[in-house]
Amino acid sequence: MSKDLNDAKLTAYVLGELSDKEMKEIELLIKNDPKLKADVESIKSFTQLMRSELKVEPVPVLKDNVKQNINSEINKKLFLAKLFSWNSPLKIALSTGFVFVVCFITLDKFDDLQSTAPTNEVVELTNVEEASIDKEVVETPEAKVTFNNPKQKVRKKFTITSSNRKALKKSYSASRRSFKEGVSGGSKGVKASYKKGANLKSIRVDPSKTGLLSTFGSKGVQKKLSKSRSRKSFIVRDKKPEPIEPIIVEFKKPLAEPLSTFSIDVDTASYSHARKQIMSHSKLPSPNDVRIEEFVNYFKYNDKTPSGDEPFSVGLELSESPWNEGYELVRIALKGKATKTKLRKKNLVFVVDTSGSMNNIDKIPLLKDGLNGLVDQLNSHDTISIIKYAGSHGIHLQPTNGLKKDEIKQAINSLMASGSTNGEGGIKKLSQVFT
Amino acid sequence: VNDEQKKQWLNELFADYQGRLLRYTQRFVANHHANEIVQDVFLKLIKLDDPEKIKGRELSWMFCVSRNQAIDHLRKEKKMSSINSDDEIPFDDSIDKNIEKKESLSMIMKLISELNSTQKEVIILKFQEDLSYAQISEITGHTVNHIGVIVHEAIKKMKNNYQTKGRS
Repeated sequence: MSKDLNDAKLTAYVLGELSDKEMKEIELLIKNDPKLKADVESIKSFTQLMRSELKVEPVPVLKDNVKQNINSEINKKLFLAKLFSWNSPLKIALSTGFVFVVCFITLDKFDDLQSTAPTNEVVELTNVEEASIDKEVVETPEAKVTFNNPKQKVRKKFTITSSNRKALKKSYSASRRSFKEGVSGGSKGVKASYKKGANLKSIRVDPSKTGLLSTFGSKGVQKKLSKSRSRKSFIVRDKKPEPIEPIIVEFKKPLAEPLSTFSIDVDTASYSHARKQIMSHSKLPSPNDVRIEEFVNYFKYNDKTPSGDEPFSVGLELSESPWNEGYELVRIALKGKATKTKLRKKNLVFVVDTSGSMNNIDKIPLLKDGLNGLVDQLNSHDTISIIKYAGSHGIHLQPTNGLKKDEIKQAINSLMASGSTNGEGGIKKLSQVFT
Repeated sequence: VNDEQKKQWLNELFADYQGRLLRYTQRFVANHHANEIVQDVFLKLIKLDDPEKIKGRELSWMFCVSRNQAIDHLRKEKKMSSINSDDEIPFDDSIDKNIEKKESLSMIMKLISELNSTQKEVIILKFQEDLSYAQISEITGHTVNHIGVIVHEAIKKMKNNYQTKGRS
């Protein structure tokens, strides 16, 4: 090390700019060197003199008009922010608690049953109502809810094979049973089939192996459907956001391909997106933005809730196809249990993404709204904590009793979105809070 | 974004730092320009997309922005009067001027006026604004080690001059 730098170190030592280790080294040097000690003392007294002299200089003040400008800018900013929060959109529907699935199957006319001509079948749509899954998670005694994005996608797959409507009808009761078995059988997935006569095909229920919350891509569906061909066609969407060619899936011949699949989906965004395109922008949505199952999902149907031990009910409706004469439409609706209004003791931990991408009027403010709504429903035996993560992560709200609503709401309202996304950190913190 | 908290944050920064920021900026440019620059700094702060990014180092951020604005301003002025733009950035001419005016000004100010601009600035930031080497490094762009050397040499020079003057 050069002498200069060492000298500079001596000054840095006096000014308290060294690390502990370096401090100790210098202290050791000083002990054995009276000249060095004198140097240090002289720097010390000189810098003290300098400090006290420089502090005397008065601090100037800004011109009045500049002060006013800055003050009004600060207040203007606040005012704008308030305006936005008044506009804040719908509350997150945490409190609704049921699942239902709807699917439509267009079948050939009943008359065609006897004919040798193959019948056509199109599986059109499925749905699971959205907010319900969040709730299901919240319900459990030590629930963990991740609010990365208010929208949770839950998909489930099962397959229905049928050659004709009669078969479907006849096997409905059987399928009902098998649906039940399929779900009550837990996470294993159950295959059940019903056979009657040579013509009758089986209905196979195959909840994917992880049970209700399992997810899967729509690829499988597309693959199977795209193989089929004949009279009628419809569009199957792709999950990817980038523009793609519409996928046309035509009717298939059940005799040749008796198996068809459809997915259970909770999204409703496509409907609101299409509505926005039409109402606000006066243009039709692009074909790939129209997802029939999400249109169906958007509405409530008052389907029968399951009774007794049934995990969900299956409803079946049949009507003439309104848009295609000579065809009929089957709607299969799955509905989960409605949750009890009286909630059990809960320990809620929210892992909140506060990264910059959440800095949007329909993200963080919406999330705060939803959380505030939840806090109103908490009571004395509930505990809530919040972990936030962005570039860094940390416990934003230590586990707090549900009655301390002001404290909790203050913490919720102080969430600010900025920085990068370190989801891993947030999850790690979560496990800390739970242990 | 919590409005109240953000407002509080901005108001606190404004109350705490406006004077110091102005004093520092005045050492580069004339008072009315310094006022404009400080106003710009606060407007930038208010409009900051991501305030979290500067949390904990607001002071050095504001000093740094102020400094850059002041230097920009000086460059423009220099261009107009066609002076070589590679010149050292003049820091605190006022110290020298004041000395001419007031002989009574403190011995320390006299000593500072004898330093070069870089030394002057670092000494002012260190001993008047009470900033750490790390903060000064953030503001001026010199490395922390370099700051150490600058401070050390400036003190050495000032001490020497002080002793000479004291003797004479």
